[in-house]
Amino acid sequence: MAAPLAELAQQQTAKLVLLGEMGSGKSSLVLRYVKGQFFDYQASTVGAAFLTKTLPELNVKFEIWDTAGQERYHSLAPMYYRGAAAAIIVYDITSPDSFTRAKSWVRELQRQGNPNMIMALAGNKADLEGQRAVTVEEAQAYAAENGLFYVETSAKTSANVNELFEEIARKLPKPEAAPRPPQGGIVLSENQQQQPKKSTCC
Amino acid sequence: MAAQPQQAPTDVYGFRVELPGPQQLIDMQRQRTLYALHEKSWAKYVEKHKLPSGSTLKRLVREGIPPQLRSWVWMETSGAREMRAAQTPSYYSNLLRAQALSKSTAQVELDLPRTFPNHPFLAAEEGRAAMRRILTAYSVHNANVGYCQGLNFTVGVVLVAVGRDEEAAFWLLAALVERICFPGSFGHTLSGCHVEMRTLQELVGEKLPRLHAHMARLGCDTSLIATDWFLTLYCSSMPPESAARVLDALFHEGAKILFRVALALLKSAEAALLKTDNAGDFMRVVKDWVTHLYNIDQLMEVAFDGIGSLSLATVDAVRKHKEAEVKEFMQQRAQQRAQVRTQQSRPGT
Ligand SMILES: Nc1nc2c(ncn2[C@@H]2O[C@H](COP(=O)(O)OP(=O)(O)OP(=O)(O)O)[C@@H](O)[C@H]2O)c(=O)[nH]1
Ligand SMILES: [Mg+2]
Repeated sequence: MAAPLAELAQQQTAKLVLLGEMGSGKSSLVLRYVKGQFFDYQASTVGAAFLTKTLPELNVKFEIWDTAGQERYHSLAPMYYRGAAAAIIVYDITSPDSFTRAKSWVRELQRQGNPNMIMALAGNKADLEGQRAVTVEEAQAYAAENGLFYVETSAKTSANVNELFEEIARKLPKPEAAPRPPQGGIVLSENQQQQPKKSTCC
Repeated sequence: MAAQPQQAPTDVYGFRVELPGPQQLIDMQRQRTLYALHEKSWAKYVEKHKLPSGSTLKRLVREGIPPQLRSWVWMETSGAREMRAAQTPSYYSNLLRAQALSKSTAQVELDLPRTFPNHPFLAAEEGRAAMRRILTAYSVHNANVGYCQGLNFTVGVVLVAVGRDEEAAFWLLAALVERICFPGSFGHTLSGCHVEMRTLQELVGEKLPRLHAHMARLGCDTSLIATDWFLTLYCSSMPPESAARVLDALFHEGAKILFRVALALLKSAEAALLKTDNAGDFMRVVKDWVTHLYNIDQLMEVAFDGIGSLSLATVDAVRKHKEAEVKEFMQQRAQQRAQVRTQQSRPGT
């Protein structure tokens, strides 16, 4: 736990898991975020996919687990959210069922997940405003009640996609916060922001 | 040197080949040569329209069935022809007429455009319609399974490999789910798949102990890497032409082939896998390797000759043990979920 000072400059690795109804756009969000791509016909996920992305400004490396959405795959999910620092629960704003499913994920994580897990609720396919079936108010109220970070996204237009992941990165508990380093954590993390990579040499 | 073709190269079934390097082209070319060779071995059986018997059949199937004979041989070896013959000739068309009974229509519909979206036939309306009919008919035929995500990929590969014979593909799907794979593999809780994953984990321990220890250190459960292998029968994991080769043996010898292939995949990549230092990396190395596996002949050699004996009795003994564990796990989950549901009525804290 008490990390020596030299280690504080190291990049923080955070396990992030995406959960949500099949077809809600989990894979598309990850693909948009990591590779800047979007496919109208994204192949459905069987099992899970793994991708990483580093945010040098925040000194965070995300290890992203994108899971399968079909209800029956649910029993495999604990393997993926176990030990996760953060979870994005995705629903499709045009599908009330997917919102119901998202709520049941939230409850499961509240009970079984890591108690300090950062949870984000993403209302995806926000570009399909004309077919909206879940209102912003409803989702917002639910998120507030459950202490979730909430945002509407579109993997298609990329609206709010970077914001979603970056906000999670900012919310991650900073490893240096725990042992209370002599100079104070804030100064140190500012230094890191300016020199993201080569700080271990000195 | 021949100029590079403008179009992306495809395999014998029209699936696009992803090329990370020239080695894949060489591997595929080698495969073509082998087909020609194998056709000669099969010629006399084709002429008599009678399969070779016993050990000859096993050897020829293990070497790889020439693509144009797959429909015939698969129907025979899998038991699909028998299953079809046990029903009235109009059984499949009756199922199609009863499509309204399916509870899986919406899920099937969602996955159709997401099943091999680059394949000229499967991504076209004709191919999608055929896959729609097969998957929906199956969900009526076997309501306990309904539609399991993953089978869309299997159906896609099988349909193309049997020359688009829709009804044959339907019965081959039925044989896979009902006769060949472990019961419950595709059902509503995937309990059978859990059993297979744990069984594989144990077999890795027996056959590849160093790798097993390494995986345990990384917290890399077999389900992270092998779920798609067992739920799509390699059809979404490997290049489809390679997956067809696995299906050759799977239809003839049964589900233990899934383990042989899984062990062969891990064994062939063992050196690289032992160098990984976290579960994610491990998974990435495995996926990269399997996605680009065009030298299927070499892999099948390892599967059959490189991992030692693996009898159905051995597999079944491990399964039996794991089945009890999974049953308990499923009961616990059901309880937990019931508790979650009762909390639902109360507002969250
Ligand atoms: N219009 C629109 N379509 C989207 C968006 N995100 C995803 N899609 C489409 O929705 C479909 C499903 O997306 P996926 O990313 O595969 O969904 P998933 O949640 O990963 O689904 P599973 O792997 O089956 O669990 C695909 O056809 C995507 O192209 C979006 O923001 N807007
Ligand atoms: Mg997906």
